[in-house]
Amino acid sequence: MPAEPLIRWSWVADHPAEIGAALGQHVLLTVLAVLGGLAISLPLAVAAHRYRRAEAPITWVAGVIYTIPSLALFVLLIPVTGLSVLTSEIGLVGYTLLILVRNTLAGLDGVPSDVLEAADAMGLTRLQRLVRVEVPIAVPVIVAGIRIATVTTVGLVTVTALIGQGGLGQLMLTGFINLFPTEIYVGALLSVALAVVADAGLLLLQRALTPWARVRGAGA
Amino acid sequence: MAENTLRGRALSATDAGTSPRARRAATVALEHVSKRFGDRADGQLAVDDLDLFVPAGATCVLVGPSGCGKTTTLRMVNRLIEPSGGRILIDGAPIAGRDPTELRRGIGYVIQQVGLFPHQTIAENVEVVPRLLGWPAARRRERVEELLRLVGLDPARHLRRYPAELSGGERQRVGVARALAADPPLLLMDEPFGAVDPIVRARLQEELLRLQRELGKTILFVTHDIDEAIRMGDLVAVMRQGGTLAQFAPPAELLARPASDFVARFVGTDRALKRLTLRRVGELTPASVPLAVAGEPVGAGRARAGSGAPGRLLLVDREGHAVGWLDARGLPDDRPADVAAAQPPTPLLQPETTLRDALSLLLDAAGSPGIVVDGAGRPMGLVTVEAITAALQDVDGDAGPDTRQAPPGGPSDPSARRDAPGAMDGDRGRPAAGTPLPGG
Repeated sequence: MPAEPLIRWSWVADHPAEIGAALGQHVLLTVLAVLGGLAISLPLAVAAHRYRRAEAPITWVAGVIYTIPSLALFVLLIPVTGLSVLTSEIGLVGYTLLILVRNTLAGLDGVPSDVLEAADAMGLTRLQRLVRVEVPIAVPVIVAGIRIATVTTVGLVTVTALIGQGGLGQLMLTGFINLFPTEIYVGALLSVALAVVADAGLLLLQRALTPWARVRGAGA
Repeated sequence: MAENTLRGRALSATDAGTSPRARRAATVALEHVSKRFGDRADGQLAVDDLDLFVPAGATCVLVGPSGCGKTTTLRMVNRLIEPSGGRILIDGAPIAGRDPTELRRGIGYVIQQVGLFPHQTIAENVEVVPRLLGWPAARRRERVEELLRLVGLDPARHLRRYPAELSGGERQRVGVARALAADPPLLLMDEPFGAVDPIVRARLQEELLRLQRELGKTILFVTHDIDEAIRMGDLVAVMRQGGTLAQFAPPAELLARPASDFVARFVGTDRALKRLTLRRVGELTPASVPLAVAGEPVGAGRARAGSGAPGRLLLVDREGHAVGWLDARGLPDDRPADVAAAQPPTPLLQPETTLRDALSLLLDAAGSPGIVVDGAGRPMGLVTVEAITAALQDVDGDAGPDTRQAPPGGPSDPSARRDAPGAMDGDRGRPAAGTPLPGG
């Protein structure tokens, strides 16, 4: 019996649909988690920015969630939400909160005071100031947070295979069960590639969104 | 270029539906205004029972050491800070009842750090207030280009750039353009030129004076620099620690008659020299000058100079330009006045030269009188150190001490000072082209 190679390419060629489905599930779980995290974090960060008393409790809760080991969290949620997408997303979203809240808050706090003074003095309302000035200026720092959250989530999604939610983790899992290295390595390499591509894509997105952040002083 | 500017103005005036280029300026009155920071009644008083009246179209400079409440005062006018007592009126109407955002959209605001929005282009930065006011895009665009030209920036080069790509001086110009965008009748400026180097600062000051002559806005201007206050202000309010008003007067009066030792110390021991910066050579009556035409006999010049028979004659060429001093002592009457034998015609003074600069030039020239020449280089007369000293005495004599605290008579007063002879724009309209310069 010949030694099993690390990757048997014929298997890869024979199973594009299975690999593609796993990759698709992985991407979907990641995107849902990051979008869900943003939907919760942005208002929380804005609230913490506006009402400084709320900052400590918000970051404390986000920090506590972050410290719970992922597998333990999924297992603890199963009695409540079952082996569902919801279970995995609750965990995944929870882990993005600390990063996203902190970065968004840092971005908002980093808006120069003279810019805020000018905005107020020109007669922008609080909401106009937030939407037209503070958030756009915070975008580079917010996107930096999204990049970290996305890469972290890509890694965590592999764990959700253990509660039956598919993704590239499922390939690795069946590989382990069947002692079939090809599936393990395809899953591992694709998740690494996904993390790298997502990170680079978000960086490009940030550059496209903030052309002003790259210009450097001509005079000054 | 000039045509474009004119067309742009006509268009925007039509769009606005207001009288074209009407001077819009507001009066500002502070009545017993005070500000106490902190909740308790024993909190620190930043501004203490301040009374000020700024006529429409005047530039009023608030000046004083740090902690005198000048910035607090400024920020109460657009309600960035609410007064603890007293009231503020713009055009006679109290601002306390007005919606702060609506109030602020009608008041230009310029600060030291400029506060441009880094994520927006220069065009977007300038049109912030017009956008808030709901101007259509075409009118905003028109206005932005007009404003950039007004503050000396080339729209083609700057419209699409970001603030980070500009120098400090350019950024501050954009800040001024932004403040003027919706043509507000009142501008608040908080140390607007404090962060740029002295050369750029002097240029920006000069340009703001030029702009102000054109626009006639009411300006409240905060600085800690007494020289800037004297240069920029029609009225200067000197404040001292604790937020009290030490003196409120036109600059000349402030320098000639400081109301207290504090004011005297604050304006500096060189206040006589500072007063010289407020007056210009054109305000003096120059002494007549003994002229001789180059090439003509010396005797003709002597005859023209009359009985004084001066030792030196000022040589002019056929077009009347000063070309040199000729020492005529000992020269026979029939000797042609020879340019080659003459000394250079210095020092030359223009009517718009400040008396301070004129005095400096005269001191350098070791006793030689200054030749006042018009824009074409033709001599108008002579000015001496004695004439300048006498001019200072005049100011001391002609105003009584009773006028000390009184604001100037009316709205026309400040512009009258700016339009005085020797104002920088005075020689603009002259047909300089084709007129040869002396010594050529």
